[in-house]
Amino acid sequence: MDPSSDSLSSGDVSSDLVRSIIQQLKQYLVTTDITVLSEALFTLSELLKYYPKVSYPLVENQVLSATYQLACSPLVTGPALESILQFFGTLVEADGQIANHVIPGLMKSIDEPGSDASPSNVSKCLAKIVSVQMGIAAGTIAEFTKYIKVGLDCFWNSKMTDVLS
Amino acid sequence: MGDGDDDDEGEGGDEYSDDEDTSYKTRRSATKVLAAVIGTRPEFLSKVYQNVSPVLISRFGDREESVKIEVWATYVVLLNQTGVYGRGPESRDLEVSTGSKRKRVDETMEVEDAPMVLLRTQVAALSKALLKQLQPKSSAASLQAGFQLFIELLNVLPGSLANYASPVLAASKEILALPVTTNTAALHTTVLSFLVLFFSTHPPASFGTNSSAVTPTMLTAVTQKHPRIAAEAFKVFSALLQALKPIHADKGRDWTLQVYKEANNRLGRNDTDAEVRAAAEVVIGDLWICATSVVSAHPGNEWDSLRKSGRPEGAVQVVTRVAAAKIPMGTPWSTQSIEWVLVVIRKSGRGGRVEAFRCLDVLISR
Repeated sequence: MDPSSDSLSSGDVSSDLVRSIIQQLKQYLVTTDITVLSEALFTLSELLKYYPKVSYPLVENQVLSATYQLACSPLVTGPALESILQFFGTLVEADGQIANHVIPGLMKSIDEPGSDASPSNVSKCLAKIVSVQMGIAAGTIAEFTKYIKVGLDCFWNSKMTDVLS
Repeated sequence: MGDGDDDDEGEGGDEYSDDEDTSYKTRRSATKVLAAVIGTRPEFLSKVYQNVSPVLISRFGDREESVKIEVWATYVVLLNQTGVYGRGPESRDLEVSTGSKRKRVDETMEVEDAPMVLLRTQVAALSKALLKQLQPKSSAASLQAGFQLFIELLNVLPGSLANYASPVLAASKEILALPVTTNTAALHTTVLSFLVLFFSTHPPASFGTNSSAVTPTMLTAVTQKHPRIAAEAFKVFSALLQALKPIHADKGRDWTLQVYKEANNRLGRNDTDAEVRAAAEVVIGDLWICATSVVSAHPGNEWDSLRKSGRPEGAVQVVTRVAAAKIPMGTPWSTQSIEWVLVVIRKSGRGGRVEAFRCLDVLISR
């Protein structure tokens, strides 16, 4: 090994290795071990951050559906919740277009009949996605406004509008 | 307090011209009483430093060895208490919480009376008196007690031996040069533990070239069969590497290469003791981080040995540290490390898995 001639810089992990990592990490995306789940999500975020071109399509096709279920789970709290928020943040940062698909995906998971989904977790995920991709903020706010029509007068009359200004 | 008085009748009798002199028993018992007072009354620490500590230091060279060791042990108690209660605010907290009189609080608030400050003023006398006693001809028990006192001093007051680096390292060298026997193994370990603390708590400028005087002796120690001695010697080199980094090949630090070869040798063997292996793993990481140019010019098979280790926890830590230090290691190293850590994640229990994930994250983010 000659370190000087073969310097390792950021982005030097091969595509095959990225695939292998994601393939292995898939099996940890369950709530049986929350610590490992948290670590696996964080590692996926790192892959999306440093190797977006290779990891993004794999994550979209093989991982995303599992993360929707995880985001809805009330068992995902603390560091695991932080990891999943970071995951969605780096995902929509890697490809801005996917944000429009992730939000309906999350909503679909929470709307499933008989699910004990955690609306709080899903709301935080949605907030994270919107905060990273501000371009979808207006549409998302308009979409969710219809759910809070009951208190809308109060909303407009109060100083809460200052938050959005 | 008076334990073993009957047994003491014959102790050290041959060392005195006057066999009838039993005053050492009084001195030893008095020292034990002082140890009991110091150990149980931390509110008197400042007074102890003002009135008792100079007397104890003056007795560091007591002609009777058992008294001398008892005096040193008493001073260790004093240092321990200083470490716990001797720093201003903590000392005040203790006194307030124990309901002592407000007057005492006011007394300790004067900075010049703080035990830590008083100790600092007595380090010179303490060091000189103790160094006089650390001669190779002294008994192993006595030498060990002396170095234990220095260890406690550095624990309480890191870097306080900066002005005595030369005589301290010379004394360490002389003692480490003694042959390793059943009686001296613990002494060697204590001296090496002291050197770990010395190199990790003093700035390199304070020991400068003096460190090269002791390195040949330590190189002998890393090759010792005694596992604790070899492990501690590796730890000394780890501390020295951290203190002197970055180390370049052109600085005449050829000991780095010898440590590297010995660590490689230990890691490559199946019969290496677990403690020695763990210390050798750490020193390999330190060598790559602190003396990159030296070890990269002499590639060994340390990474293969690390990855084949039966207990991957240590190897995971070393790979994580080297990867986090952004040392240019080459794509093959990175690829092999990621493949290996994926296997570790698959096989590890819950405890080791988290560290392996952290290692993977660091490798990805390089």
